[in-house]
Amino acid sequence: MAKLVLTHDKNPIERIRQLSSNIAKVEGGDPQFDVTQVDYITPLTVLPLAMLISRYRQNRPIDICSGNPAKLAQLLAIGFPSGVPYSKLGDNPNVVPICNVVFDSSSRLTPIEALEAIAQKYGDLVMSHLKEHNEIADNYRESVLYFLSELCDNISEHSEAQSCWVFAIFWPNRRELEICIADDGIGLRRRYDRAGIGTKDHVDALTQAIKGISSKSPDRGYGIGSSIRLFTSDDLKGQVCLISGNACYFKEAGLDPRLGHIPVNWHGFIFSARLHAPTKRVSVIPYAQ
Amino acid sequence: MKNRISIRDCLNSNTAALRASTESIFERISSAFSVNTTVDLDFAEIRFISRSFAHSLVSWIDSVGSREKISFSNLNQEVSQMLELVRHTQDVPRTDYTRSDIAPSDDEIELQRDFLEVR
Repeated sequence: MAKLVLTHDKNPIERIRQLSSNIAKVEGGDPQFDVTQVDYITPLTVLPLAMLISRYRQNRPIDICSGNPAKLAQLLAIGFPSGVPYSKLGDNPNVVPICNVVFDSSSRLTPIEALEAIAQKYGDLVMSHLKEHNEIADNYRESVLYFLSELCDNISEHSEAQSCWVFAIFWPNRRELEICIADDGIGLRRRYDRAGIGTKDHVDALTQAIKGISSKSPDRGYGIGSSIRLFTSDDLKGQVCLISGNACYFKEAGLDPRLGHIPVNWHGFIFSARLHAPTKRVSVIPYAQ
Repeated sequence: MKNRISIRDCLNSNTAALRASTESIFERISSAFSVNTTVDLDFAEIRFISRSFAHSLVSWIDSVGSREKISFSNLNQEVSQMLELVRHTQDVPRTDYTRSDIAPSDDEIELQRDFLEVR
């Protein structure tokens, strides 16, 4: 039985370490998952696991159990692991669930229409859950829409993904929002390879993406870098984590960025951001330049 | 004669996120054009456009040489600023890709190869 462990919330490097360890456990092939040691649910640490477990579930039944029924109930409430299709977003207005869109021929919408719908509907859902904190919602709104729009556009344009997943949590006591978007596409390095832009490894490819080197044309490639600048600005005082292949990038507002290898290989791209509630409306324009 | 095209109707959404979504607008503009015709892109009810969407729209308009024939109306402040920003960067392309504030230097990357190493 694979024991998934999520016991740290405050230390971001420790969260990434646990995510790596849990990804390796899921890829180990055990169909039974014990989530007794899941104490802190965060989008970055839970969303990639949900994607992987759901992928394995297509082939065989899986069993998720816990000695802690409350934690299991909390995971199930957010739709772990299978997520909620984008078409059912908002059916339960009390929950911001893990949401996914699978790009297959049975979908009512084209991948472009579905990603457009996710960018709008998920942002709206997050904002509606902040309705008791109207001021915070107004201040966050443009940043969240910008992030979802640019990342969904990247998935649409470059990823060749089979699915796109998104999950967000707002912690009112800490006045923090974390939002994570992930795909199971070809990842940054193969995107560059296909465009004829050679990269040494996944770390190099992630560096190029952060610097704004577009695989399409020189006047594109703003989405990732501008989102990092926005989220780690003095306005949002946040932290970001990006993973592609075995490369990981982490930056926290006011601190130097960290970039290097992790011991697992993510087939696709993950971008997670944790943001402090801004005290005034934040415009994305200064960061989108 | 001025033809009005509602962006809201084209997208069936009040958010313009994806670059690919501009295709339907280009088709509408192309079919609306004729001699002595101008086109007004009506952004009523559009509350947000992404940078990618704005870039695709502005680039296409420039590529078909129609900047003078196509006007924008009913822009909220955010949409207006995004279109202005993109138009400005089209006119003055960026030359500096080095964003040292968010990307470590090559030397630093070498030092950090094991991301999870405790330093």
